[in-house]
Amino acid sequence: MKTYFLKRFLELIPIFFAISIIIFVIMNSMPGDPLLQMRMQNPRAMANDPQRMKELREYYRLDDPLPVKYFTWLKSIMTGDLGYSSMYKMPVIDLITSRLPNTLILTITAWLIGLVFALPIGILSAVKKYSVFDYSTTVFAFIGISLPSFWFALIAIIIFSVNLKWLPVSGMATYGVVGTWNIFVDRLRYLVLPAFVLGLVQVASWVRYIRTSLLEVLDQDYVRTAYAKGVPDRKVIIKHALKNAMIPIITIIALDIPYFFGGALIIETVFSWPGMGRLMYQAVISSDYNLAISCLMFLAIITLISNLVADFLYVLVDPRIRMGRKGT
Amino acid sequence: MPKLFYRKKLEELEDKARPLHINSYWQLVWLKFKSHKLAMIGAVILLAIVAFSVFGPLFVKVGYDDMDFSSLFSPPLTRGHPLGTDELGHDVLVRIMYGGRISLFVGFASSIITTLIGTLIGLLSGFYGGIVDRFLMRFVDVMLSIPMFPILLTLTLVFGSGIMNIILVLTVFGWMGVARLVRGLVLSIRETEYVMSARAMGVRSVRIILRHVLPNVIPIVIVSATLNMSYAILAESSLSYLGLGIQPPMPSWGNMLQRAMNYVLGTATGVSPWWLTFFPGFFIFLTVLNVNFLGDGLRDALDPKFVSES
Amino acid sequence: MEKILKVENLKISFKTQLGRITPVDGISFELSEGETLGIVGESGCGKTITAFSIIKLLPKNAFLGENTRITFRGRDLAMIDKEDLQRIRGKSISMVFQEPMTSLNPLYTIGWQISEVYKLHEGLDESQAMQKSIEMLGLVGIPEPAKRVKEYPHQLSGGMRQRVMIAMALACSPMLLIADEPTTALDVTIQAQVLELMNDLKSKFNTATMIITHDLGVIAEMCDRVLVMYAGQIVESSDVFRLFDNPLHPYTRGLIHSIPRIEVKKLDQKKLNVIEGFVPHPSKFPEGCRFRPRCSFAMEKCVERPPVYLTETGHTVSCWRFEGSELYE
Repeated sequence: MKTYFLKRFLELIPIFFAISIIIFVIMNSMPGDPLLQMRMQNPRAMANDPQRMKELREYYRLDDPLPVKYFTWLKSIMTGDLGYSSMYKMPVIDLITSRLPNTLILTITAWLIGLVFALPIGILSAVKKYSVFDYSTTVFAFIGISLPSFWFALIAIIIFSVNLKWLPVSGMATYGVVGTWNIFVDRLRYLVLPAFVLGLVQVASWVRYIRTSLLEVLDQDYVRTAYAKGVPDRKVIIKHALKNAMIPIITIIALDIPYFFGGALIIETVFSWPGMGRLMYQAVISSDYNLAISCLMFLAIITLISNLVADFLYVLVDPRIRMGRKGT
Repeated sequence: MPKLFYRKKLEELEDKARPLHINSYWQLVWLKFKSHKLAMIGAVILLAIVAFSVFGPLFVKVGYDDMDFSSLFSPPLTRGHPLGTDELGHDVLVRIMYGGRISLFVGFASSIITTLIGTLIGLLSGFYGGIVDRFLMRFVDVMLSIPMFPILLTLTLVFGSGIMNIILVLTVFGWMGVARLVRGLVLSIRETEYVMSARAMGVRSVRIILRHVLPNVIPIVIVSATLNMSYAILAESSLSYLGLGIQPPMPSWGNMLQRAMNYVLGTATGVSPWWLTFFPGFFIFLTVLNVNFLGDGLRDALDPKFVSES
Repeated sequence: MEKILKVENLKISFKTQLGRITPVDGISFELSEGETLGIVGESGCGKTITAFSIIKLLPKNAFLGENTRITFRGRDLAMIDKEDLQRIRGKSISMVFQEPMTSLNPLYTIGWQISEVYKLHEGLDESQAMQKSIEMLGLVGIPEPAKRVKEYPHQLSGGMRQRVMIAMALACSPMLLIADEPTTALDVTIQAQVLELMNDLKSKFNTATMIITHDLGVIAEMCDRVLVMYAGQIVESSDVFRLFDNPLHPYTRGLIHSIPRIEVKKLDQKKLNVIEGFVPHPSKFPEGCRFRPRCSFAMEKCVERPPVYLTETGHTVSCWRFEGSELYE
């Protein structure tokens, strides 16, 4: 089993490098001269002196050929030096580490909300195929996957924050709240809307997928064998069918983690949630090269990690993978 | 589904036996599609939206840019402005029509191009196999591991905004799913006996692809295209909402929402113009919803093994 | 000998998007204690659906006819409720399926899967059930059962898997075993072994058996009596010796004559015997005698459905050529 993970991990390394090349090329195709930008942001320090410009260009190696630039960049990020954010005037790595927990709170909560709703509903609609419950679930699922997340967020804000005034409009915390319990409740109030908006959209796509996977399993011969043995319905579904359906379900749930981060980008922007998504958006908009490229790489790494997580979960469920497919 | 039935007898079953005059595959497809209620509704509503967007502007005297200073921030059902106006007196309904043209066009065009590219790559990869296949699929894996939406954002900055650029952006990163699907299908078709015998008889590869592989791939391609379209419309509107897609003054449903966002908490006069937020987004939602219904119906209808039990 | 199963007027219909189809159209038969009944026919004749219907293993859109009665030891299985049915399945009536590769759950050990039957129907606990499972594995001829009981289905060969299926089915000594094409998916040499095993266990447990197959060889090996099915109806039934000696119905004759033989006197025969045509789809059953389009003895009268006759030789046959014989009720 250890060899299996090692193999998977090694497979991901070339992918990592390929991704880094693509991201690097794309980022470097962005219009705008970094030096010009620096000058715009700091006109006094950078007088219009061609000699100084030339020196700066050499210092920052702005005119090196692309491959050289790539390797320089690669080397520095491998050593943990992510550069300096031109927008925030801080080391990028500090920015990311300060915002990351916020995004994690948001995405993990949304992910859990998704699971808690999607699993039982998906299972139930598969078991009660073609019933009223099933049809309404299908309709809700369609609605969910068709909703533009930002619109859903705005409508939710209008209803719950502006009209009903139950929940705050944006941000993550109220200033000046004291006491652990009060702080907890306060944070929760800010978390509710964004997490639900992010999570419910996922429920929609997961529910259909869970339903389909379970239905496919229920059609299998071994489920028929279980019924023929006189196993009661509930046990057939939970012990015999569901475990087999978990394999594709795990795939979708684990591999959707990167989408949570992508969706968080939009949600964080709408709700002014101080997380990595919003950070990335601002970085790209302001041509903050270092910050933007670091955020992108970071997301790419998260994607690769979630692949490994999925693999890990498969192994837990399926003995055939555990044993490396010995025997027929 | 539980394969049990208890205490049921034929009395409960109305005699709906019809003679099966199914003469061709496409007849069967049409029959199955017709019985998928949501898909039929979807198709109708979609057609209505397209007609509304394409032909609507021909019937109104106002342009999307015309400002009616006498009614700023008018709510819906004001005289002359069925869906209200925005902060500059633009009529919401007209802007939605024009926005529809753009959003629909971008969605449609990018999904067609994406599907074509993806199908081509999938065909090549699946049919020729070997190094070509391995390379292409590795490439697909890499592309799929890149966070989709953030990269779309970045690409809009690289390529610039505007309709054609947005279509380009969506295409660059949209073909992978189709490619994988098509490749998988081609692989299984390639191993079928009729393809193997065609090759054994020396039929040229291109001919095999065209006559045997392509017809079987078409159903899945059609379904992919519809699903791709729903994603494209959502992506374009998200990008426009974030200020990176279609730029004003040209209206797109997405950028209308961006402007609306400024007034969510209410305007200077305290009014909260909910219609500015509601309608553009609602149209995005409605369009995507019906495209999804359509896609689902198509998928059920085109799947040869699927005959549902009512 | 006691009659344990009596099937009367079994009619099975399916409600589909394309209308109603009735693949099994009013068949009746009986089974006595310890007897082996074979149901033979080509693919699509409805024999598998018949087998599944006994313990109601059919999908939700299937319906039984109004007059259908399936009497098992005095109870009508057609009208039984869920809990009773679950008690009978696996305990009094068991099934063995065609595909051993896919009929076992890939995620559980074979020991667990057999033990499940013991835990469910005999109330044994984990270790007792496992013990009996090991015994059962030994009984079906699996070497080193104590070791193999912890293995997963994918670690076993096809023949072994089928033995495991048989072990699962016979675990609680059922009165009736229904085997749907039990050897069709196996290699020929393994087939022989499995059939031998089944014969062995059959006599040991005195289980009445219903074997569904398209293979006349299996019928000859295993069965006491045979039903020949075509297009949802029983066209002939008889005991096994008389069936091979003197097949009456044109379809049966066709089946038996199409078995390739190596006898010298047939060397001048250039082609294999076949029955022309195809088995009709349930939505397109012909009017009257369903075999008429393919029958070389077809007469005008055959546009009407023939009744079932009982001949002096003890066959029942549904064919106008035997008009004049006693009618079978």
